Amino acid sequence: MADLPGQLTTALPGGGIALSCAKPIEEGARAALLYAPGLFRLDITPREDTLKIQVRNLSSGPCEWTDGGQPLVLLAFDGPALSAHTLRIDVDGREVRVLVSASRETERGLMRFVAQGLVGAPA
Amino acid sequence: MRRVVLRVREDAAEDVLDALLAHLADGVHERPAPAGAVDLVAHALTGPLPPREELILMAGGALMSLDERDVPEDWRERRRLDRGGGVEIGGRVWLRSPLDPRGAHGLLDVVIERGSAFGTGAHPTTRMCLSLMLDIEPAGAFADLGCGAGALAIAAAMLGFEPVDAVDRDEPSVGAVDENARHNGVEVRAYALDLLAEPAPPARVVAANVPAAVHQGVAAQLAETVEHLIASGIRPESRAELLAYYAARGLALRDEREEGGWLALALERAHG
Repeated sequence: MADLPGQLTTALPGGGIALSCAKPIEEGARAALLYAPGLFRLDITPREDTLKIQVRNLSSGPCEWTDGGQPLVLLAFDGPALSAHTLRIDVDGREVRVLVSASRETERGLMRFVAQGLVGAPA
Repeated sequence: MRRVVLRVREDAAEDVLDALLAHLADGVHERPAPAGAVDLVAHALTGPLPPREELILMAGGALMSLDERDVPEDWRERRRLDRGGGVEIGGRVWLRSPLDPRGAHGLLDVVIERGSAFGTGAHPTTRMCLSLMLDIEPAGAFADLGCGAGALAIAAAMLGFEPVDAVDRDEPSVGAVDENARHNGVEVRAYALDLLAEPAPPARVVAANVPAAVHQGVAAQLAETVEHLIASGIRPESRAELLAYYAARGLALRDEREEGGWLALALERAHG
């Protein structure tokens, strides 16, 4: 997979990775929100006031949720985001902390997402 | 606006999405299609879609067909064109937005406009709750907890429950319920309520489509008047936890539904 549209990737001292992404997504559509090559891709599907989250394990090791992972109740209104959700994933022994917030653009039928992912250094 | 529909083999859909999602920033709708296929639908919302030849390469051997067409820019018009919003529930109710066509003759036509609140009825939890509600005799008071735009409350009023209360912690929901009740010609008392701090309105039948933590609060303050309770807004992993909350209040499991990673439980008061 090439670079994800809308994502910025920064290498951190010590081997960690910072990912950030801002993008509009159609309600009911599945879109890739964060992508770390060789580790994971985080997809989201906003539907009404909930957010389905799927992680594709791109690593050769295990990948599991340590916090979150279930469908989230996502309160979003037109205008600035009111809340954010924190998720944690363990991918091939590396901790990933993800922060997701959303706002709604009713006139365009879109949800606007902002996400940040911090991938820990390899063990 | 350009739309592409790639019909692909269902067993290969995740692999195709791996290729597509890198290029389709606005996302892809996954829609069931006949004969073990799934339709992957994308719109050129914020930028152009890849050319047809590239899409064919991305889908690879899983591709069954590819359709391209122009669709309206306005999402409401697209939805009308797709005729995709209305859902039939239990052979008795047709739940739709004002943009969707009426259901078949004889179905109770429940029309929900979302406005700035949530819950048009397209969500699996709303559908499952309503399906379970249809098994209950429509008489006496009904309370819709976490009502969103009021789909369950309005359907309850149309089915014959009276009075009907609809509560939500979000103020925009209250206005949406009032408007939708008026549009559907029924009376619903809608108001903002924090169910973690205050008891739910007393009723014979309660539908609580709320997160698991809120269920705990609802159960703790549940009125003795409740004979039936529909509980949803939870995932299957919370099933045992919820059953315990409500068992402590004398309610036992009667029926349940599961769809799309969500669970709905029908509980009733155990007599004797």
